[in-house]
Amino acid sequence: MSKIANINFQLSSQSVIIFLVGLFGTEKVDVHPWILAVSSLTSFVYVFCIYFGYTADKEDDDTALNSGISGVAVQITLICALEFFRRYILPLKQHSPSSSRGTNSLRSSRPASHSGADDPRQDLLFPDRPSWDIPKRKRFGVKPLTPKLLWRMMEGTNEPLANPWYVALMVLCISWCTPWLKGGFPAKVEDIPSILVNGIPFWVMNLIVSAAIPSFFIILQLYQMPNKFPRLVRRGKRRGGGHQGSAAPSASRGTTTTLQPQPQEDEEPDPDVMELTQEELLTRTAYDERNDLVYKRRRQILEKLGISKTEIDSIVASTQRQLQNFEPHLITGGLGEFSA
Amino acid sequence: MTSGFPLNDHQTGLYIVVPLYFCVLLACALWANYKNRHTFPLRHVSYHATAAAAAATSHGHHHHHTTTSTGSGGVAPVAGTNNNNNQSLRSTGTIASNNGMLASTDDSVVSLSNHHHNHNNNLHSNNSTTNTTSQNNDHYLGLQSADTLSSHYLGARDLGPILTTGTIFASFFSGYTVIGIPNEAYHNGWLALRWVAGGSAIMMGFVGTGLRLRKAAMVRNHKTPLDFITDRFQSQLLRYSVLLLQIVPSMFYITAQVVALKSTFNSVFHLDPDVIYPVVTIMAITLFFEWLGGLRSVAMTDCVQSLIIVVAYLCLPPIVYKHFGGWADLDPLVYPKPEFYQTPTRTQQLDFWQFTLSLFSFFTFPHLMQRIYAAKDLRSLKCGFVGMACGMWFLMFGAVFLGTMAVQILQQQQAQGVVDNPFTYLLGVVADLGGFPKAIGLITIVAALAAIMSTADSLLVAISQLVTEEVVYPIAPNASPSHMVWVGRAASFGAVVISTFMGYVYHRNFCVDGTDHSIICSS
Repeated sequence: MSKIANINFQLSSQSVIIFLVGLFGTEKVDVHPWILAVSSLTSFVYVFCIYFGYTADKEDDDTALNSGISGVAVQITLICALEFFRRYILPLKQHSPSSSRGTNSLRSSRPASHSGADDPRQDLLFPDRPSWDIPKRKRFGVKPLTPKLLWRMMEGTNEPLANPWYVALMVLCISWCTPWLKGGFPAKVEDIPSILVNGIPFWVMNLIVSAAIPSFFIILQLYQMPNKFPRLVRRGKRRGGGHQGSAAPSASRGTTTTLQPQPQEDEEPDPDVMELTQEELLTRTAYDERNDLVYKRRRQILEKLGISKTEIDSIVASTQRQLQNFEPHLITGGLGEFSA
Repeated sequence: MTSGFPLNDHQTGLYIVVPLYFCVLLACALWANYKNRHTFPLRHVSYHATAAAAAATSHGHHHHHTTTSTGSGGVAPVAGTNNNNNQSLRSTGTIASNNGMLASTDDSVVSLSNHHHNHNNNLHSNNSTTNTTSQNNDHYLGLQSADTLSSHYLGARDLGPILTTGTIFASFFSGYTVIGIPNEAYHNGWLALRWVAGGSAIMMGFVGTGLRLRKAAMVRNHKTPLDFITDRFQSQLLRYSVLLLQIVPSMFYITAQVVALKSTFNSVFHLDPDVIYPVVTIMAITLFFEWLGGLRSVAMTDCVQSLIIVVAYLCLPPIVYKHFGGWADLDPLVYPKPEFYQTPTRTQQLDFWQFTLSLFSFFTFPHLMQRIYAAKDLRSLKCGFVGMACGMWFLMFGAVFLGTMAVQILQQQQAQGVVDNPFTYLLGVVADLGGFPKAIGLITIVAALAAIMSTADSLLVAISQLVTEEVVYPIAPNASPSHMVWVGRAASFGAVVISTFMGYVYHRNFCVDGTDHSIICSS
């Protein structure tokens, strides 16, 4: 592989951790975005330096240093160190009498529900950051995409990476494919026929069989992969709202989320995790305009679930206030503009 | 670097097959353009709504009205009381100037609304809530602009099982799979099976993250991988960091395709290795296809390219086996590279292990993530994954077989020291057999071009999307999506120019002069 083709793998590896944390993080196991950014950029620079400054000049590097893998190792080390500092060292410093009382942009990881009701940044997973770091997010919906919401979306779906034992098994299987043997055997050409199995060396045969095992697991995983995501429904409070199935109850407004294979009369799609229709997906007016089709449907579902208009309006008003604080030039309508 | 390509007797065939291939691609791109224009009703709704708004203004209407379908094609004006309409109007350039009410009695709007409503019914026939909502929301269609940007970059999120499978297959299996792995096996022997072993890591990355990315996209309307990062972490710093991490490797990747394209094409047609015009022409054609139909065009051409690659690799190894034997027929005592039979050294083992694990990162490439968003449904995505998983074995395993067999087959040429590109030499030997093998040899040449081009155009459209949606659009947030499509075309053009230039410079300075000591500079 040419050097220019090879380095793209090493560089792209540096965003793996960010996506894995984003996709599979939990409220406890989450990383501050600035720490992810700093560590990934550091490892990105590291890969460039190592790749062009060290390994590129070595045809047979005895250390077999892979700049991508070692870059990921550097990244993980940095993340652990900085997160430890943010979680345990920084709070101690801030509470010490000698420390200043200024805002530290990295200090808090409070989830939205723990913040005060009037905090304009209460929907931020990591508040206390400067406004320039807060992107526009109206187009995604009213609620923030928390780890909890992500996990709720995936209820009832079998995911390989969500199971650490499966991941460990696959890593082991893939690592097992490597021919971990004493090198250079057999030393003499005359001895080669004695190690052949169907015309190929025994270690190649082992490699092929070993590679077939994780492939079998992948095929099994694909076989089990659903053709569509399971229905996540919510029962309204006016209909009882008893908690059923394996899903966790919804966080708000006295409704519960359940998994139902077939539609029931007294249920509505969970508005927080419902899939959008193609019509809704393909509607757009500007870069970050709210998608009114989605907004209206979610509102209608909430009303059908027995949530009062006043209650919905209060949620909307709260969100509007938050958005106005960040993007005053984009907020123009009154709070009642979407009243059904 | 000398071409040394032994296809002198087959140039006529190449001059027929290669232009034919480009004609088929052109037909696909034109068909994609047609499909984009005629199967995306929202765009026309938006157009008619704009026209209606202009008409309303010229007739001095000053009241909000929206249209709704009556089921019989009639028009039932409904008083629009929502200030939201103003917000939408302000955002959509042309209508913004009205700053007032929209009264549309245009029949075409109604018919398109009905059409769209029916379409929605088909999609969600088992979801009564959706249908009811759709009825209630039909009146929005005249005001909400269609997302032409998603139409261009995500094929209107309507790529079915065949298109999704074809485009994932062709985008993933690049020129390196078709040409590079056989050449790697020629030089490194069975250690090239690292690609087969690492295939499981690649699939684990895709299946493991694809489901969740897909679901999040369907719920939160994510259009790019960076939308997920933005929505999840809510940080501009991280967002732009990931943008860098996605664009830079993609640019290197597309540059590698340019280098491979230049080497392969010039070698096949016996051109000077330093000649640049063929690769410029091919990249221009690729750009033209992308401009014509966006991702749908790329997906359609990918399907054709996948078919060519599959045909080539389904036929070529059996032909080699039939005429030259298989691994069991090799005699290790006279095999030109007996070291292949020895167990790998410790360094090779470590390199093998790290490489297989590092392939897990393949899922982060934006052009492959784009397919996760563009698939019509989960079933289509599943088909795409199955295609990938199968391709890992029959393509990569077949490539290793061809490379190791080429050591024996090209023994004579190797002794003369002329084999700079073993795979093309092997194709020459196969084509010399005549008849069906000759046809497959020529098709495999086209397959090599197809594999390189399909990866290049996929990367092109992904880079263009990232630049447009994540860099330019935030700067001009009120621009209409249709305007942004043109910005996207400009971004594609920029990406082509930069990657072609980088590829030319790299090839001239490192490959032709032999500074790049890697196995094969052409991949």
